[in-house]
Amino acid sequence: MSSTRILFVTYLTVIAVGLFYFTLLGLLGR
Amino acid sequence: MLRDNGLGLVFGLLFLVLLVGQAISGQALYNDQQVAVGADPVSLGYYLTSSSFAVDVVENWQSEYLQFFLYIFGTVWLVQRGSSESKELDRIGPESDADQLLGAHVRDDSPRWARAGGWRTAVFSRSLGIVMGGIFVLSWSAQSVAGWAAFNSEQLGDREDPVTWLAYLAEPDFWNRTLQNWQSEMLAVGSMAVFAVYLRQRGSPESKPVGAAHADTSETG
Repeated sequence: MSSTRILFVTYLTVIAVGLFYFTLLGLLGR
Repeated sequence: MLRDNGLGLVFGLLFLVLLVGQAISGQALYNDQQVAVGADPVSLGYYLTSSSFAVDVVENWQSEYLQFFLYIFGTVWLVQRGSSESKELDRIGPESDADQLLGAHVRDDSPRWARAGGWRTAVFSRSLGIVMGGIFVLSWSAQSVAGWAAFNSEQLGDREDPVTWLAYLAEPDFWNRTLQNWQSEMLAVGSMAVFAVYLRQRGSPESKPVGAAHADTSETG
């Protein structure tokens, strides 16, 4: 995989994990 | 490899450093408020797993992705005479297959989904807008859920009743967080499109060449 494609997948992953995590914090009512 | 990916790497690293800064300053602010009401200060670990931190992060995410989504979609249909941010005035709309290298005009190195035709090309033709719009919707909904939890923990601290998620969507807290971010994005986008008519930044693809006429639309330097 090219370095540029790794960067692309990394950004998507960071955003997806972030959205999941921050939604979860809300749902858990912390 | 590093030089080839300078934009993506530098902005990604800045994001991480600044998120750490937000976490540290956010914890300090949170603890100021805790002390003010006679409550115990919280650890960084507690703050990083709080809905208060979550809503502060995602309310900014949603507005940035809304901005880019509207810009990507809006620039298909709206033009700005003289702006490097706009395409030419006679190219409004999704353009022809020849312009977009589709159908009979695909090249050997065109992406597979551009060559495939049918639904795959239809999806790929909108993939940037779909992803940016999708991140906007998901981060705005994350804001609503995290903001709801943070709002309710404040309600309980003030000995007031918690509200349902639907009721939170009608609270000033939700709309104030949302609109204070949206207004700034629209101002920045609109002014950028117009500033790019008369102002230049040598070497930037966001600008026309320094010597280009103010009337030239869609020229990037």
